[in-house]
Amino acid sequence: METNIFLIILDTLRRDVMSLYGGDTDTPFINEIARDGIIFENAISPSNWTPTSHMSIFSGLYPREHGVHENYDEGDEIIFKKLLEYNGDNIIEYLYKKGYNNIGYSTNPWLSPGSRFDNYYSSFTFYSSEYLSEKEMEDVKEYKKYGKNRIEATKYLISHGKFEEFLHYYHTFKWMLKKKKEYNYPFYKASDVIVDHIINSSFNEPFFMFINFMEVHEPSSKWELDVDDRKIKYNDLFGFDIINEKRMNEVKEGYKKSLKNVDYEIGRLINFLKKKKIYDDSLIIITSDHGQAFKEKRKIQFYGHGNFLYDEIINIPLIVKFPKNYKIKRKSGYQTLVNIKKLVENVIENNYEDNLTEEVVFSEMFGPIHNLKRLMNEGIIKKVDNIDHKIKEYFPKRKAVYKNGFKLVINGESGQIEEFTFHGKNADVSEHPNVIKDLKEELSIFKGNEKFII
Amino acid sequence: MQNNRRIEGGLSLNAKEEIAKIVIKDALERFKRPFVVWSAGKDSMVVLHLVKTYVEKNNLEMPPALFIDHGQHYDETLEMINKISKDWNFKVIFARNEDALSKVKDGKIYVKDLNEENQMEVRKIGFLGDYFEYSLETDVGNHILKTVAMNDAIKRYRIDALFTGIRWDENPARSWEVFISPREDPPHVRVHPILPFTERNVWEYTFKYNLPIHPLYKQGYRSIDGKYDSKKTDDRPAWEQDLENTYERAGRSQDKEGMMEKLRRFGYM
Repeated sequence: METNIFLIILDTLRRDVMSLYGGDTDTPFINEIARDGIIFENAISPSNWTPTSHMSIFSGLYPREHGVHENYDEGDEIIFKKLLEYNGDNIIEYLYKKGYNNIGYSTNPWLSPGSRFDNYYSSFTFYSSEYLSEKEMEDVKEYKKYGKNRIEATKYLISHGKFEEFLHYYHTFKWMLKKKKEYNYPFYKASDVIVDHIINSSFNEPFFMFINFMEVHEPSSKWELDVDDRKIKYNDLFGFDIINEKRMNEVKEGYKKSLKNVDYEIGRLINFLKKKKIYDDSLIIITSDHGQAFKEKRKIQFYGHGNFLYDEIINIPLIVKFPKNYKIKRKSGYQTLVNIKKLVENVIENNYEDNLTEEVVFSEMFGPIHNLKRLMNEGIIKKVDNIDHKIKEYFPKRKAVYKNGFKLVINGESGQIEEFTFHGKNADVSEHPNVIKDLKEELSIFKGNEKFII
Repeated sequence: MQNNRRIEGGLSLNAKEEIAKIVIKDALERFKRPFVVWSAGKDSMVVLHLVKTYVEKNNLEMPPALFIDHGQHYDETLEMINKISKDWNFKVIFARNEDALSKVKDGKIYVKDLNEENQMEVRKIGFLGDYFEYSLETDVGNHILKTVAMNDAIKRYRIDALFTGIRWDENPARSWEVFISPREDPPHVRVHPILPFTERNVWEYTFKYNLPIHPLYKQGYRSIDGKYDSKKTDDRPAWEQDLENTYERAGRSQDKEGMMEKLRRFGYM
């Protein structure tokens, strides 16, 4: 029998919140899979955000090797162009050629039909993780023109005899409230809809099923609703509208609650697979594309992902259940998403071994993930004086290397060491000259012919 | 030796240098993590110099060199590697099959002593014996000590382009090679800038640019890979020998064309 394969990405999930990794959020359903499989403790994402990281999973290459990554001036605007240019290997194409029925589900707009991430799938279904459609967002914006809040706007509309408009907005808001209640927004972001869809479908085997669940992706709290997330992040980062501790805590709570919710949906999915007798013989990979920073105590504090290579942004969970719950021997070292392609290819050939672990792994970024100058010109975020200088300071090209418990992050514009840690704790550069030399050597080979000062 | 004229196409050394430059330029533009295989032998020395000249002129970074350390190098070779890499300021990565080298007992390597990966490699090339000689002149020895070490380095350092100094006139097994040649396992390309060079051209280039020369060539060796297997072909310096009418690898104990073909198939060349 050929192996069915599940690749489940819990978008934006950092591992340290999970009880499996010592955190305080229990995920009983994921734990169940982990009991039948292997928990990899040291998985590192090669990139700090969605498209680049997913491209690494599918291509088996680091960002600078596949080229689908942000760049200094354009941020994310370059991604679709780079996706078109990529013509290398792709695990989805490989599976397709092996006769697999590839099925994709996503709630992340980067991974939606037409993005080229949907190539070689027999079906790729996208559900919006937002409870408001664009049209409704427009309505809300319009409504706000009439007054600062709902009461003021309503007063204005009625006193000016605009009854038709009032009724229109009344219905929109009523619908929104109903939706909020229904989905317990923001904590459900369509994972329930995806699982419903799967449970009510049948699939030709063998199949490969890719799912991207957006539950733990921001927004994670009520105050973030209806506000452009870029506005929240960058205005905080540049010191305009600081996100206070109380709000950050609300976000963290929401984040954990979302994890519980998506865990529950994974439980429903697993029950279904067990009932259908698909579970035992399947390869199930549960991981994330990147984590999330909650303004941890760093030199530059940040809420969100992208833009930095902090542990909270690139240390991710990785759980693999092999067919027949086979327990492989784990190697010591670090796991990288880049190796998932190799793992899948090997399992298909009935070769079960630890293809994920390497002695040395890397993560890299090439600038901010948004075009900040444009966001400023469009008034989405407040204007910063001397923005070029600020971009260079905050979002230089960076590369991180992990080896033997040590992590080194280098700013490739200045060659400066930005972070040096041993098992997550700050280490003294002057006490470990040989380690620094070795890690720099690893980075300098890894960077190849790229202009990057070490 | 034979067919030299057909192979080099009557081009002058200058013209062949221009070809080499085009090959180097193309490879450096297309690939992200190039390495130069370097043994301190005459051919790889020429490739290294050609690459160095090109990157310096174009203000690019010098790719690191990959030295395949099979444990049987002459001391002179290791001295040259250290000195030249320091003088020319580039990195050298030593590719070694540590497991196999640590298992040598009385000049033999027992298959059962090897780790799982190496045992698999031994089986892959069809070797069925219990042990093999610690030598580069058998299929299995060459595969384990050179090919496996090199392939591991290609994987470990994610090398996408490997410059080597092979030439069309060396051996019939190499006469069909192309300038940029894709390999599958592990995936990468081989870049061959000096394919059209003859052995004579290599010496001409060496003297033209005053490149360091491995001392053994002066003593009459024409090929200097392993200290237990290479022999002098003549007492005259390599460049004074009859390069056009004798085999360059005659100095190696077992220079069978079949072995070259096999090495190629399993990824060495």
